[in-house]
Amino acid sequence: MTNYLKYIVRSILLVFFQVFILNNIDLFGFMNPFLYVVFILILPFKIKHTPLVILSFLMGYFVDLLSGNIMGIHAASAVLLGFLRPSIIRLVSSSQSDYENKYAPNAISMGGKWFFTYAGVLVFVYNLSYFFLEHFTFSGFFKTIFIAIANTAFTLLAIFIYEYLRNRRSSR
Amino acid sequence: MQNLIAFLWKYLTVIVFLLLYVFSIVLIVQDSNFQRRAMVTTANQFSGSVLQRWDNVSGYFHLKSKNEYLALHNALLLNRDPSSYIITSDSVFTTNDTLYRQQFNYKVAKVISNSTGKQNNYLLINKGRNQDIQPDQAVLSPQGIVGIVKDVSDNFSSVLSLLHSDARISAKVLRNGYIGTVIWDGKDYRFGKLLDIPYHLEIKVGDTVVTSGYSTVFPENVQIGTVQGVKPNINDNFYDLKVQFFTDFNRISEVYVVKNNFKTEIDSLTSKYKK
Repeated sequence: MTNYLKYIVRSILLVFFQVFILNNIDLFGFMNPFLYVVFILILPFKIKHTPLVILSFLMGYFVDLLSGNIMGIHAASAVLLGFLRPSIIRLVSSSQSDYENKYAPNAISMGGKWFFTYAGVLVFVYNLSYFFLEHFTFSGFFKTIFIAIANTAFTLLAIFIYEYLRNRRSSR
Repeated sequence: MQNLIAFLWKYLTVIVFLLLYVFSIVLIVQDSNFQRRAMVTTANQFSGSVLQRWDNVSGYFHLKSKNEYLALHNALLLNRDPSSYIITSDSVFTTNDTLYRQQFNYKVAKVISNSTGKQNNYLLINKGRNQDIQPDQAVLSPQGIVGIVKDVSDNFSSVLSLLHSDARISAKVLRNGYIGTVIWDGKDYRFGKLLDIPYHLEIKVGDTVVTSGYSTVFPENVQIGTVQGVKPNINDNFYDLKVQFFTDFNRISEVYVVKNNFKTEIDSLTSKYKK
């Protein structure tokens, strides 16, 4: 039960941090790290696929609702991320035993290389979806791809800092 | 029937995913309509008050440049003040209210949230319905045009920026009065486009573009920008003109909201033809 509470508090804090701090960074006019997706990334391995998709949608939907941007754009990207998560876990693991007896994806328990390949692929998918939906056209195709790549790097940096602080606290 | 349920159960995740995804896309497409309207009254009230607190703090860091702007604008106004002129003739001036009826009222508002990097940008200002702000009023900055009020809540309004794919401003070239339309192409927040000027007319780099006054929203001769590039459009007989905006959209903090006192009267007249 305390575990559920922990995830609820974490999701609320991440959404608020995303909306009121990170969405105002606007580095070079367009770059904001989408740190809140880390919530979806570090949900336990054993979560069922359908609740995962619904949870992802809700996270994206609340970020949309509070940030006053185009409605539905985070929700669509997040639901895609949640849907693809199990396939990507299988893809980046060499065998099922890699994650069978682990609790949740995490840079310490799974190893930094595994975790950042996994996070990198999903965050890139998220950014691609986000920026193509925002521009809503395929004109300027390579510019959009470039923006997505740059913002993926920025988001991964934020996730790295988040994971570092989280693991340092828990190891103490 | 049982087979159908078994089938649905097997693909439950895929179905849920597709439903939610399609729902999100519908939200994006319909964004400009009811969704935004519902949101501006609830979520914006909340995030608006937080953003305003934040702006109260961050405002201090821009005081110097703010003061420069204000001084500049004060000087501009003092130049127009009657006390700055020496009367050189003996004529007597009288003002008559029945001849000079005020058409535009200006109100000052503060910008509490703004963006320039997106394809569709909005501003949030700290005045709303209680301060007599209504949708479709013009928003100007000391340098020039900013946008149009889109939605109002009790104490806040969201403004459709000129940097929005739906923004179309009726404009004219100040030097010779040719009429065109100013839009933003979504690339650089400093530049827009002036369309609908036929190719046989003479346009030079450096020409000033101002509002035409043909809409009921903007007063006439509000500055928009200067022409930076003159190119013929290959596909038709119109120019492809690049316009550099006077307003620095990255540094807007104080804006004027303009109310046209005759708007309802003019609109009721023209609405007869539009149907």
